Amino acid sequence: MLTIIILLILLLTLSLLRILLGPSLWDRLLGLNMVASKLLALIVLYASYKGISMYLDLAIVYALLGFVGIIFLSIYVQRKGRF
Amino acid sequence: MREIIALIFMSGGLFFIGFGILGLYRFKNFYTRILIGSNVDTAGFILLLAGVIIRHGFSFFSLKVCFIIFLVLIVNPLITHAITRSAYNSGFKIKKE
Amino acid sequence: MLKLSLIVLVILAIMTVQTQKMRHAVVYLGAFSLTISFIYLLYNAPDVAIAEAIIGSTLSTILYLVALQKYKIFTVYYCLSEAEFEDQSHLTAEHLQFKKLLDKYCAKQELEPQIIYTVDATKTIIEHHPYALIVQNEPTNIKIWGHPENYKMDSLISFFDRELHFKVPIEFIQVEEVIE
Repeated sequence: MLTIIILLILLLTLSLLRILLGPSLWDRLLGLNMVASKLLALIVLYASYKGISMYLDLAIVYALLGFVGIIFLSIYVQRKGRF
Repeated sequence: MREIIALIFMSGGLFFIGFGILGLYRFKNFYTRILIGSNVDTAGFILLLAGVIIRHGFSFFSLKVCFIIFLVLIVNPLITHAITRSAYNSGFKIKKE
Repeated sequence: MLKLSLIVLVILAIMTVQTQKMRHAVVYLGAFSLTISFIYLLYNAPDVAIAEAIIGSTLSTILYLVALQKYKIFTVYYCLSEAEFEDQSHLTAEHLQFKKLLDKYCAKQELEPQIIYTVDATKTIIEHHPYALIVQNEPTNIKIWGHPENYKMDSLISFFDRELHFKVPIEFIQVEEVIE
């Protein structure tokens, strides 16, 4: 179980590299989306490893609110700087 | 026994996510990258959480994980569509075949 | 597990501070706040992590975007040939130097450059797309088309006059407005 968590953190670091060196802004947004989804899976795995079901509330908040920032950024770029 | 089946499911999920990240660096074109990233990533995510559900059996924990899977199945295509529409409407063109 | 996450956190913080473009800094800051809320979870504080996830990833991103509306977006189209578009590694040295100068100009005038590479002809871009500048590289000189309502054109010309070590001649063309 712990091996799977550490492998998932390594994969998260690899997909974070896409944010750091992506040539355009949309590549960075794609990398942010992938990092957020991997972090969600990581929180669920950590809660299952500890056996505490209270940690899953954080995962629910992530899944409900994590997309608002990305959608606002993409709308901001699409309308050339005006909401 | 149930633990071993759960570990097999989680390893399958990690396998899919690893292929998604390989595709993120392999392709040169932005639209291909976003398709590969979103599709393969969602498949791996669902498999990984299915492993967690099998590990805990029929309990309150599994119900919350089912709710998270339901939310991600709605939200993840929405984000991908928003990013792609923003890129296309801003004039990020690819070469015509 | 904790040490790996802390290393990721330090890398993201340094990238946020030292990047040139403001919109990229907002993206880095979103990833930073996601990572730090996971670290709060590792320190056995899930309530702080929930507060950080709500405030950091949603509210502060929108606040920074509202603050960024002061910046004007400056859309620049680069016309490339097909061979250059396939493999952008063999762009010429003058082209890279020109790009760096344009970034310097935009940082000085508080503009936010948005750069788009295309293979279309300049005529179709003028007719169909909103633009501020169109840049085309020729073997001997660089041609720049400016939009009719682009009031930054004069300051751009005087800026390139002052950069004496940039040897390539630049031809400025102001597009006439079509009255129907």
